[in-house]
Amino acid sequence: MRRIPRKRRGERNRFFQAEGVDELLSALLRLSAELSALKDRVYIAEKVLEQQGLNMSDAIEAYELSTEQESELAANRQRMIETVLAQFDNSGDVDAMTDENSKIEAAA
Amino acid sequence: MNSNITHDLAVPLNQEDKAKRAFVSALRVHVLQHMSNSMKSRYEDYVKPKAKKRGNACETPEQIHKALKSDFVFKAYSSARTTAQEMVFDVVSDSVDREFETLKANVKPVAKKGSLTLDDTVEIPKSVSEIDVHLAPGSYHAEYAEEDFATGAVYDNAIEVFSFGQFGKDSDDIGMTLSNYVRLKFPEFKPAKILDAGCTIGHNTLPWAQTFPDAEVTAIDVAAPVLRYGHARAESMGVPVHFRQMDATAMKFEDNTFDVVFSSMFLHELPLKDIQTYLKEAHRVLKPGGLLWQMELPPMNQMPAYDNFYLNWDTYYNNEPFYGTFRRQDYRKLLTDAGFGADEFMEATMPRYTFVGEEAYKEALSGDNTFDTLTGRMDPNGTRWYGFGAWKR
Repeated sequence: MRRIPRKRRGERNRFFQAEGVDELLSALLRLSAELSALKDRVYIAEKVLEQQGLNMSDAIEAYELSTEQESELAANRQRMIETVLAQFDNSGDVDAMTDENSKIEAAA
Repeated sequence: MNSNITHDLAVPLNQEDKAKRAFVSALRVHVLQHMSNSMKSRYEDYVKPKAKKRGNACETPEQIHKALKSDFVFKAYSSARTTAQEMVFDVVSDSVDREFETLKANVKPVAKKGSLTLDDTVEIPKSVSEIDVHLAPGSYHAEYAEEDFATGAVYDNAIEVFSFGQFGKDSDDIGMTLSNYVRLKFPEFKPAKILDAGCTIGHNTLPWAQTFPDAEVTAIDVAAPVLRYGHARAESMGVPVHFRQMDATAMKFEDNTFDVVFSSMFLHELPLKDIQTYLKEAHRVLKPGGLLWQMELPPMNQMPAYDNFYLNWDTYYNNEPFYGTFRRQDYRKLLTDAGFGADEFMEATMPRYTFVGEEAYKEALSGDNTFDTLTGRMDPNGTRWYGFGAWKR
């Protein structure tokens, strides 16, 4: 649950003249943080598995995701898209956006 | 990045928190060192000569800002720095939100050594309520739950990521540097009552109680959430501090109450009239023979023009609109206008106490003040703090 807002009041500073460049750089840096965190996690996972004597590459290729696991990954994916694209969304508030989507889905 | 925060309010961090915090700190180092150096070289080698040909003398920070503003390197630096600043708050807010209920149990401590006195009649000044200071969403006073402390928790965690460790263990190097400056510079001075104005979570207040264990230390701020958190933090660390919700421009203390009144990086967030009012209040509540000291950004009249431009970036782009106006003031005059004698004015640049250690620190204090690129600037190569003050006679 998000209590603390992520959206800042007032207009965000723009440094580049062409529309969207500042927002793209912001998205790129946020995406890099996600990717960096993921790479750290994979690295740790490799080390943990090595400790357990497991050959990780073979086990990953052979693994079948369950429906529940697929849903979990889908939700993570959606969250990541919303985070990366935060500057392109008018509200800038991921939860508000999600709520808006739920309303649209409910209406449909 | 493992957190240095070791008190009971430390947010339990998962691997993703640690990885993202490490990334944001690394990004800030890259921006403030690599990109900042590129910007300075670009300015010297290309922007400045061209600007001079166009009639811009590049002698003032405003002229340098004007010359650089249209250059790609400045735009890239500023855009990346803005996002890095936003990310500082965003990544720590994720963990504070997640661990809110766990933290809540620890933020209601049994007051063992200090106290917390809140006053809901205190009006939040517009300089806090109307802008998201430092690009922190909601600023520092906002409450999202009953008896909220979240902005305090965010602040404690954010300054660690923001400073990439440059504020020291417990983010208290500014407080340690100043309190030990007073101890070493004025060995005969034994303050009994000490006041910190604009304390936020008290990270720079606690060092005073540690450096002067016989003194009673009081810390005031207008924002309740940071005080709730700061009180619990202090109790958890076993340091006695009395936190009170109070506006530093309208203090409810009697005249001649304190031996020391200090603040840490507080004045530059205030409109000039509030700075003037606070300093008059500080003079009023100080005992004769008491000491005022402000850890602050160095004044513009002591720094080279490019460094002034560089430091003043925050005025334009980091929601700290009063920063430049403050730095433009004659600090001696600010104090004399508040009632301090002109001859009592003191200023000092100090190495970071917790980084250099007691002996090197003592040696540095015996030398002259140094004003250079590292003064008042968050830099991976080190930082030198600046302060000014006066005795009340």
